[in-house]
Amino acid sequence: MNGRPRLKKKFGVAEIVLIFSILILVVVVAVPVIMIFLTAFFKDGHFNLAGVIQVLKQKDTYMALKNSLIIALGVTFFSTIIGVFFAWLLARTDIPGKKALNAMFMVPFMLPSFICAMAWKVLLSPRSGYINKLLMGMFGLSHAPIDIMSMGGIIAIETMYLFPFVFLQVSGALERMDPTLEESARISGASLGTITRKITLPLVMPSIVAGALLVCLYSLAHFGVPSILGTEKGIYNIPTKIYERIYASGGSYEAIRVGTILATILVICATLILKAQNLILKNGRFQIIAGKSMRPVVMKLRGLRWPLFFVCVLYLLITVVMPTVTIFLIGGLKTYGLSFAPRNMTWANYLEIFQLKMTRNAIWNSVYLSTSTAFVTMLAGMMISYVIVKMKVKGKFILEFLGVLPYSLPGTVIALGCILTWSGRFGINLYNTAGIIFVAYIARYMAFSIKSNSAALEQVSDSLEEASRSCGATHWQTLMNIVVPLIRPGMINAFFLIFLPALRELTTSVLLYGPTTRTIGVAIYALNEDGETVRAAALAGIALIIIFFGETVIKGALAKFDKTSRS
Amino acid sequence: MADIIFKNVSKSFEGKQVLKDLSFSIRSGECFTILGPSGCGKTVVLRLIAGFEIPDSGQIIIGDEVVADPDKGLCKAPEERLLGVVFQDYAVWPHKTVRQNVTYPLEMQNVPKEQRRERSQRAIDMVNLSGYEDRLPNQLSGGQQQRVALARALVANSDILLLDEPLTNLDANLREEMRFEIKEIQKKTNSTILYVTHDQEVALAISDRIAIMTPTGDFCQISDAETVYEHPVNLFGFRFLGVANCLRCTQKNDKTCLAEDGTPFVQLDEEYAFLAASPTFIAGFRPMDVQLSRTGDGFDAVVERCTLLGNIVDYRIRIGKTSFRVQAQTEDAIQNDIIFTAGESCKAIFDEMHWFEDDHTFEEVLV
Amino acid sequence: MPALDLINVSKIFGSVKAVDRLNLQVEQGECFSFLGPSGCGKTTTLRMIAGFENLDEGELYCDGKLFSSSYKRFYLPPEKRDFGMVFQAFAVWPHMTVYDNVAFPLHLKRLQKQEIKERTEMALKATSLTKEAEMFPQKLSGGQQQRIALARAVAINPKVMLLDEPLSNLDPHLREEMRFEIKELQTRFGFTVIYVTHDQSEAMALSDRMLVMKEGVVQQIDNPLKIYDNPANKFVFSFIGLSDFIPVEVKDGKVFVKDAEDCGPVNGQIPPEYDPSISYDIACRPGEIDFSPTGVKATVVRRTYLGDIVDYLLRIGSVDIRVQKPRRRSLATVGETCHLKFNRLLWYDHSEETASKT
Repeated sequence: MNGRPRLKKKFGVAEIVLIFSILILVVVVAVPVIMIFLTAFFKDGHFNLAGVIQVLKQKDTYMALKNSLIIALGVTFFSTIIGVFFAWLLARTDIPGKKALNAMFMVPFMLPSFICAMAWKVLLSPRSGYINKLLMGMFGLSHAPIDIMSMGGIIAIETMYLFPFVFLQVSGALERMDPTLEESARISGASLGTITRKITLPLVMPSIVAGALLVCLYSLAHFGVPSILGTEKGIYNIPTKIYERIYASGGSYEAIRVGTILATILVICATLILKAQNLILKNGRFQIIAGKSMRPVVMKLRGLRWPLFFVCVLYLLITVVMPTVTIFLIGGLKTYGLSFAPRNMTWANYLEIFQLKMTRNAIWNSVYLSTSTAFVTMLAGMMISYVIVKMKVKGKFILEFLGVLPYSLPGTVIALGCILTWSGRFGINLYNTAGIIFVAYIARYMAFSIKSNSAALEQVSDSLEEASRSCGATHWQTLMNIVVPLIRPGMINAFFLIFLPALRELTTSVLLYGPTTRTIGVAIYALNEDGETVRAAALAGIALIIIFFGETVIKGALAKFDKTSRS
Repeated sequence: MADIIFKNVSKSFEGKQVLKDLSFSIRSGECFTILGPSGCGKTVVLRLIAGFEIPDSGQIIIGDEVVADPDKGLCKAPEERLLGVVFQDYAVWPHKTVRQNVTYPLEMQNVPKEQRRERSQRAIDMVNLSGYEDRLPNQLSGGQQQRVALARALVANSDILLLDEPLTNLDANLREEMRFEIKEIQKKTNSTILYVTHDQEVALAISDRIAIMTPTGDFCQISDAETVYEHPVNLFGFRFLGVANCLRCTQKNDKTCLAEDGTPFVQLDEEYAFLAASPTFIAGFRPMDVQLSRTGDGFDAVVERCTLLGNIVDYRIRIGKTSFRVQAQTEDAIQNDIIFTAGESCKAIFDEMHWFEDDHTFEEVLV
Repeated sequence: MPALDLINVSKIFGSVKAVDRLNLQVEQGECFSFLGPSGCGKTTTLRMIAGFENLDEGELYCDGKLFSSSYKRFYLPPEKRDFGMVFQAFAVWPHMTVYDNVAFPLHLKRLQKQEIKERTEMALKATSLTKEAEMFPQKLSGGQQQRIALARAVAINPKVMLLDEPLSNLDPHLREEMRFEIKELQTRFGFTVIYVTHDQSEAMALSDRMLVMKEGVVQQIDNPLKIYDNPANKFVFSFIGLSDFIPVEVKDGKVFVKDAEDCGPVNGQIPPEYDPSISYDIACRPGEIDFSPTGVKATVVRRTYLGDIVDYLLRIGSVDIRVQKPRRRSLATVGETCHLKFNRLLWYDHSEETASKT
């Protein structure tokens, strides 16, 4: 306390932290992205636009692009309709069981869509799908009525598991909306129909758009569902096309180069979508949040109450219960193809998962990788967010830019970038090790961490820190005593926002795995590709249990812990 | 006990000069208020004293110590100045109980454990929060949170308290109550208080001295409440301290009249005879400086509006073509039968008039 | 024919009677306020008039037409009641321009295009929003947004205009300005206005008549001056304006402050209904007490300079009272002993409830 008072140095702790943060983001995020563009557009040191165009002109790459767009648009369209419908049903009508339905509609989020695709393939594949067989038997048909291995099938399945993006945004907006906006329309003479059309929907449009664009982005970048349902029939989208080229050629540089060109297109699409989102939201985001909590105008469904409730339950049964049950049942079969009679069932496959080295390894790898990635990314994100939100240093705009960059990058692109960066070019060779998946995950999820931590930090007003300083606490003591406890929920949120998706992801690790570094997703996928459907299902079942456990039990326990630890 | 002294302090933000060569001093044990409009720089003064901002030039002295002198590279960090600060948004830490909030400064200053409980309890009692020690801020009302902030500041340093518009977010009744409490606390602890606000009511009620800050960051008058209210030095201070009627007048043939239509008005004070030389000058008076009656002495006037506002009756009165505002206590108005209806005529006597140069900064003012 | 007639109107939430048998007739063209602390039932009453809540008991007529009746099981929904309403949070639609906001209700009524144009422009002119007609509400200030809400209500040319704490979200300077504007609109167009507020000076400034409500029960219905000067009970007296309550006891026909006989008698008349078995408080306004050479003795505990008015805290025995005097008649200083004369006193039962002012 008796140090000689000094003016702040020109170059102090703040600057060091800033530079360190920039370094992290540059190495982890910027370099891989730059490498992709360089590889795509430069051949042997020369700018090579002609080569790029040539690749794009090839029939199969051109088809992959077309398919990607058609699928994305279709998924977006249907997800929006379904999402808005359910959101409106739960927020603006007197449908029964709202609380339960709200919780249930979040479950599709938890299910890895490629696992569900596997289940749907088992049920609805044209030749051996169980449901198809059932229907053919019942109605005496000669071929399968539903072919899930098609563009339509891909669109349907992706929609089933992506619509919560729209649902969440829209139901949130509807619930928080100031009810007097609708009441004033009512007193002006508007019927409920007019209110919905002219007031409610337009005001909620920005949320609808936000959700829809998220869905579109996700679908464009998605590997799992198109791979399981489309590859066999020759239907490719860009991520699956990149995978196919690289693995067909055994990882040749040329294939990687083609991959980067396709990846560039993905990046351009993603950027355009995000720009569009910013534009629409900037002009249209209205301040519609209510201060007081009043009850909004609710439509009475009368005779339709229970029928619509039944529709919701049916939807959830079909999209959630059926695939899950299928997976567990298949995992319990002695051999694939047998009927589900008790004599054909066994626990052996599930036990085997823990005995087989390959699967045991996969589980361990995934858990280890997700935990360490989440931990590191959470801390790094916190430091970077602190610089962005709280520090007054020149040059932090670089961090803001770099931090958001990977948000729009599809997992495939990041994987490619990591291959190019970390395969020995700069002296470090992580290829085929867990390390390369580790850095890829950090790059992939850094943006989430920064966003979550920034949001939490923004809630901590400057005066809370200044009050601490005026009480005698140094900057560091203030961080430990005041800031960290207050953003802990945000940090924990960031941890789970990374841990759970990382645990079950497939898109990135499928391009990066080596013989000993399979993740759960890769292991399930590989088993499925090799025709080991039963083993794949068993592993998938265990994966579902782990994920469910993580989402509900751990998250719930931590939330409770946080509430009690505050008093 | 300590004085606070500013010597030629300047501060600018992003190219805009907020304070220029500002010098003043706060005497030990006094309640000193800086009163000014939003954005004039008053909060900057408080933050400079607290140590959250560094002056561009000049010196800041607290007690016997120079805490800031940029030319010598000197600037003591806030955690070393140890002043009691109360922020406008209270800044009460939501994850700590009342007791933990109030004890925090003692922990940071490494006060021995045995003393901590006693000292924090004393502060909690002084702000009338006994019994709430284990509550969390979200279980407290706005006024109670304000008291937590006050108790914490007292514990951090009861010699010097810096309060940044602490009552702005409270409702009128609570503001009044807290005003008295702050004054009581000052009496008990003999603290030096710097209070920053744009609310002239609070300033008049609690201050020993008021410094009126203009939008350009200078003090146009520093004096006690009554002097500042009853003997304003310029038009800005006069208008900022409360509802003010400012009528433009001219001198014609040695007679003072209203500029708008030449109606005769209160005659210019001899003291201000020099103003007669200017084309126009300003007559200023407060709404309660006018006595109305139905008949009797005074200027002929018309009642444009008479509104009962509770314990005050508010009028809009017109002499000739010029309107101004008058107020009276409701009880007096009832007693003297001056509850008028719009359009009635009356008589107006002016108890007091302030005269100012016309700085042409406004159109005819009617608040 | 009254513009609004509420007969025995009650509203019950669970086990709480939010509004208890309210009877009220509002005349045509009257500006009528509902005043009371938060939770007293004033907003619930307004919402019943508007139709957003239905009354549990009683009847509601507007201009002689039945709008709602519990006995006849009749309920007209809000969209058919043709009221103009202004909400506290403005409720201006952000995705429509100012012009479209104001014209929307007229489109709903399916008026002719020309008439819609005329009425909209007239309403915009009346609220000084002609220049801003093509702008979107977010670009406008709070006061301007409130004017949009007013214009929208004015354009309908309703018989009755309902205002639910319309000025609470504005800052104090603006509140005063908007108050005058609302009054001017009312005088010009002749609407009947129902105004809900918790701010008594607002209610007093605007109303022709007002009602004071407490916990669902009407305390008094009258014009502002009568409510101020002749309050029906202790609650109304304490809710409106500032008030002092002094417990007293009567001895030998003289009135003394309780436990302060040595300070001398208070110059008050014992009312004819005086009952020796009841403990009384005398009540008066801080402005009705004067310093005088004779009278009950008091010590000045605190003197607060407020500019034109000086506020005193005086102590008689163990009772503290507030006195407010214009600055020129405020000579007493802290610590001094002085004598007080009361210009007017009301007598109330000590056990009656006052309004709490937190």
